[in-house]
Amino acid sequence: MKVPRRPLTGDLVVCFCGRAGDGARAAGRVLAIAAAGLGLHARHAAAYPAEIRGAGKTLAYTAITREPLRGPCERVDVLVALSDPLTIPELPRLNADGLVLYENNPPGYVAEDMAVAGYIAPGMFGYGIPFRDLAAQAESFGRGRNFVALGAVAALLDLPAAAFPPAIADHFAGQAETVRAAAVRSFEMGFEYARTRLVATHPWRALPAPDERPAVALVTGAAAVAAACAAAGVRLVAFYPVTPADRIRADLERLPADERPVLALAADAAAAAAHAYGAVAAGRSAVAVTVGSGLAAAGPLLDQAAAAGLPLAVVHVQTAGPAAALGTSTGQGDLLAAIHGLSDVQRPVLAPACTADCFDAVCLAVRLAARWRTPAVVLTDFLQMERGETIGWPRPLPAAAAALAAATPAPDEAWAPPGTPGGERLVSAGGPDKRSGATEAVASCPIAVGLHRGRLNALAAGWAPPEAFGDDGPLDLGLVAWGAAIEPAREALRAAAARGLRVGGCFPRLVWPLQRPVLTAFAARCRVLGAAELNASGQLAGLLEHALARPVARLGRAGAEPLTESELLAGIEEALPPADAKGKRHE
Amino acid sequence: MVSPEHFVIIGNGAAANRAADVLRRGDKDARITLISDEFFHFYHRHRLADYLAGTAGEDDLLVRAPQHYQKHRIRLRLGQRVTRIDPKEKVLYLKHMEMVRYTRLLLCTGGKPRLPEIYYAYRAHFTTVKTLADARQLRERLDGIRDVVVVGGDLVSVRLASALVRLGKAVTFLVDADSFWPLELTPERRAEFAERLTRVGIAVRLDDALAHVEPHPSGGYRVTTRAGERLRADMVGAFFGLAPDVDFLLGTGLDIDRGLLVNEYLQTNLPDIYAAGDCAQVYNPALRNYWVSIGWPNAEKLGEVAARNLLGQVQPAGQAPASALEFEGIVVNTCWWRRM
Amino acid sequence: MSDHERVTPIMGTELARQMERVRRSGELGYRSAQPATWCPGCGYHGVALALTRGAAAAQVPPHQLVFVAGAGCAAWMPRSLRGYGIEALAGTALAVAAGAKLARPDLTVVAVGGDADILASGAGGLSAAAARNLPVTALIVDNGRCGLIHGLPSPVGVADPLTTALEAGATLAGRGWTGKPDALGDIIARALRHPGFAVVVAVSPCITYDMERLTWDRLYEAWQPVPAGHDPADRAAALALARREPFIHGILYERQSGDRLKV
Ligand SMILES: Cc1cc2nc3c(=O)[nH]c(=O)nc-3n(C[C@H](O)[C@H](O)[C@H](O)COP(=O)(O)OP(=O)(O)OC[C@H]3O[C@@H](n4cnc5c(N)ncnc54)[C@H](O)[C@@H]3O)c2cc1C
Ligand code: SF4
Repeated sequence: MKVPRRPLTGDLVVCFCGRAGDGARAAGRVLAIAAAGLGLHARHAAAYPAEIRGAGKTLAYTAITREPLRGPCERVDVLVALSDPLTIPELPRLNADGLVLYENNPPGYVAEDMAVAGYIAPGMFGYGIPFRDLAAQAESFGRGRNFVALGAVAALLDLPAAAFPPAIADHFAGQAETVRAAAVRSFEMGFEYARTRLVATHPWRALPAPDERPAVALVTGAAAVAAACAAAGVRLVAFYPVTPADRIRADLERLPADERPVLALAADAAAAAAHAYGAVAAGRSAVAVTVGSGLAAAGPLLDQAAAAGLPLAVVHVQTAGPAAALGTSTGQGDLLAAIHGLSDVQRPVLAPACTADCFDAVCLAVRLAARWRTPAVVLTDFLQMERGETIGWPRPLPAAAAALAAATPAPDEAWAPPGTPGGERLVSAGGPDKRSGATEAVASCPIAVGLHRGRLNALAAGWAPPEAFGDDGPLDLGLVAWGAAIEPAREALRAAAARGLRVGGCFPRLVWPLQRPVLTAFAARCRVLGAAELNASGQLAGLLEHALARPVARLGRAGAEPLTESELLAGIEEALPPADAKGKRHE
Repeated sequence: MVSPEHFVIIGNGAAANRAADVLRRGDKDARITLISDEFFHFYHRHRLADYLAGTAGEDDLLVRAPQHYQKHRIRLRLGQRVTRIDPKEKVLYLKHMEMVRYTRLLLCTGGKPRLPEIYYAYRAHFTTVKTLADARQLRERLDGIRDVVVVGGDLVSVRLASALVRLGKAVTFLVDADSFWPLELTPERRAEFAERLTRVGIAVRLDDALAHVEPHPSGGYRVTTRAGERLRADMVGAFFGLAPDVDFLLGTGLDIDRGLLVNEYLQTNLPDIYAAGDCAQVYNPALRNYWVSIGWPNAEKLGEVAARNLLGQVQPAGQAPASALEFEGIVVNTCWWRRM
Repeated sequence: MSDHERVTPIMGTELARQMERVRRSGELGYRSAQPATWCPGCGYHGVALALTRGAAAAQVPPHQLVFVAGAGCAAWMPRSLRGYGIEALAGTALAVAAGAKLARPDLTVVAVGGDADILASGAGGLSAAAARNLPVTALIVDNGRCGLIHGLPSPVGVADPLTTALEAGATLAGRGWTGKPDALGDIIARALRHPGFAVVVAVSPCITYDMERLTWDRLYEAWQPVPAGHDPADRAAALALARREPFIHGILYERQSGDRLKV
């Protein structure tokens, strides 16, 4: 007889919590790879909350589901405490019947409130496991506490142990065999310990994987960006080696040699932009990857590229503040910086909502830059780059990218690429080149600025309408969201609609230039208009207020940890106009 | 104002829970912590037989919803074992290396299955059922069990044996004078008891006992009785009642005999440490002697008395309730006296 | 009057000989139609001449040439030459050149900049290109000044650019001066053909702001060729020489087996 399985309605979410170096991320990622291997849908993401006391804290979430994933992980079913003090604040996220695994043989006694065990609420299940001892038995350095814990999770959830060694091998691809073997041994120790001592006690399990396997692969945002660069025929990708730009590099290096762009390792973010600038000036398509404040460093060359009409594409990874020493965390605070350079020039900005979007956005940015002779920015964020998701893979080039390519005029004499005999010309922002007369002096010439703006407006007018949520009727509240805020916003609207609220959403991927007609029509249907984004000032909200000449409620906050469905739902309810006695809402 | 008081109760059974409730009612602000090495919430131990028989599910065993503890701000530490007490520093040491400070401590550690010393050598071959975890394990094994031999004889054994018969198992019960120790059953009572067991479908070996048990090469066990009978069994149940679970307290300076020795106010010999329930051996001024009483109503009563004394309301334990085991109309008193 | 008749009067003269030499050299094909805007008498004119001679001698056709320039007086260089020009920003010339070369290994890429550009804000680009031994040529016009901004002294002071380049790891290091455009042109030709990162320092007077240090008079006097017996394969000797003798022209260091472009 088997212990009854608890049917898990939504995602089964496992969270590994520890200090940097505890291997929380690795454990979360291996769990996702293994789940994907079992034919489940999976997603893994790491958060690095910017807590003053929790410097170096890592929360690695892995969601496993039988259905395709919808939203971000918020509630947790299994919490693994690789560091007790750092895990204690995370306990409120655990479901009422959630499971907590903690170290039960630390090197010394700890004071009463420093152990996770003391905080496990009635209804939850807390199991102490000698992570350290088992890891030390598995290998001499005993570094595999994370994999011991993973083994215990697998046993308690009834995930087949056989799925994990290949997942560990995948995770450590390219690393020494001993590293992989030690991890596998640690996993097995944890699995055995939990199987023999804890499983009989634990009342619920994960549902087994369905027989039908979805045609998906586990892909990170960084890998999607890398694959998109190859798919869009990018010749050079330049970056300064900082996380997560290095992840994109690693994924590029994994591509087959004949598809792989040239990787230019730059001395700094400005140099990365310069490398890409040189490549596009030399007639090849190029992408510069910037992270955090790197966008500002790359700014002058982006302006120069706009002025010179160069199709320089930038993949920018937003982080919460400079955050160099404290560990990088996510944010959405760079929208205005992405749109506006130091000059009067603006740049088109595409912001993906999920991993598949990351792929599409990069393809589209490369193509639209070529089509409209402008730099273009893909505004992604730290969370998206690090997060892995099971998606249909390999992903075809989006149709819109092909359409842009078809609409791109072949370079005429004025834009001859270097190497063309007789076409010698100057790529310049300083004024029309006497020899070719080709270059518009966008930065300095008001007429040229106007022309560039005109091109951007034409771009927006020809862009596909944004994703919409809800019906076409009048709404009490309409929510505009961009980038990583789209997923929690969509789920929050779903929940609000389920409560009978009249709400709708508009989720553009082209954030700038604004698709004015669509947004104007959407706003006209809404009594209250709100914008969801992970920044404190409400950057898109401000742009919308200016463009639509009406107030926009700010449903966001400063970055570090991703927005959640529940906080946006609370924000929606707060922003809604009060209802009168008949249930009608007034402004 | 936050009360500086931290009542810590070891145990999560009838005594512990009653005590916690009374403490909360008497002191709205104090911190109250229950610590138990069992993972499950407070459950009806006496329904474990129903659970085995399949007539009760796990949820039916629950005494109360977990929310009760949140509502009354009682910290419940489950699956955590106390390994040591430092009564001078007033600190408990938990197995997972956490230290918990208390201002007042109540020990409600209950009993553990008793095994007469002559059977110690066969410890590994016996099945006992004290906790839900034990019952679960047995339930998982049930499919592979056909023949059962039961030795000893407390109320648990009778209930379980009946449940197993209802599940279609062949149960043989060895009944002798030592069954229901420390009570000595008169030959008439024994015969009457055997007769009732037979009526339920249990094969009774009257006035016979276990002599030897060893694993059978082809699985299960080979049991030899004193009368020389050889029985094959897939499970040998040993049910000799419960004995106070106080081993971990040896060496702390607490007076321990069979259980924790407490005065009529349930105070141990050390300041601010009390005991109640199956683990306590309570002084009875009328008898001028200590007694241990096993049983749910008794545990609840002592839990309540201990809590009142912890709160400063002086109340004696009084006469132990004559808690009785009742089976098919036969009443057996379970209270046992120290020098009986 | 026919063309032939027009030149007839000078036939046989020195001028005619020079004109013929220039015509045959092909260097005219590397000059643009744009008049240079450098101050009359500035050393940059000679550097431009040397560049055309070097390109012609290296036989790189103009459409295969890419000149990248950052800020300052050097920014005019791509305009006065024929080839593909890329205007970059202060300090970015070498990084832009690197990008162009990495994307287009078929092109010959030259980054031109003053000492205040390539050695100061562009220092990162110099070490990055050296670290990769990227086959681009950095032409550092050293006048010790920020010419375009009222002749402020260069932020790198009097540090010797060639020493810096050698220390960074350039696999070809040469120094010339604008007063000898032929010799400078030869060095540039060697650099353009060099399979790794080449740095050519062209010492050039700024007649508008520098009346004392790098003046034409002083340079004519101080200048001398690389001493006979110097082994350009000896990096330590090259470094010592570069440090000791700031007015020596020629190829001080050249590692022929330079690593090929790694992509
Ligand atoms: C199968 C069965 C049937 C029963 N049927 C009846 C019946 O019908 N009627 C009746 O009156 N009685 C019955 N009893 C007896 C009754 O259940 C007990 O008398 C009663 O539960 C005693 O309660 P308690 O609070 O003293 O201790 P318990 O319920 O035994 O609880 C003590 C708890 O303390 C924990 N503990 C002990 N040491 C430590 C430590 N060092 N650290 C942490 N935790 C510790 C134990 O794990 C246990 O959970 C039955 C018992 C069993 C086993
Ligand atoms: S300012 Fe100096 S360097 Fe610049 S052009 Fe004039 S003389 Fe030459």
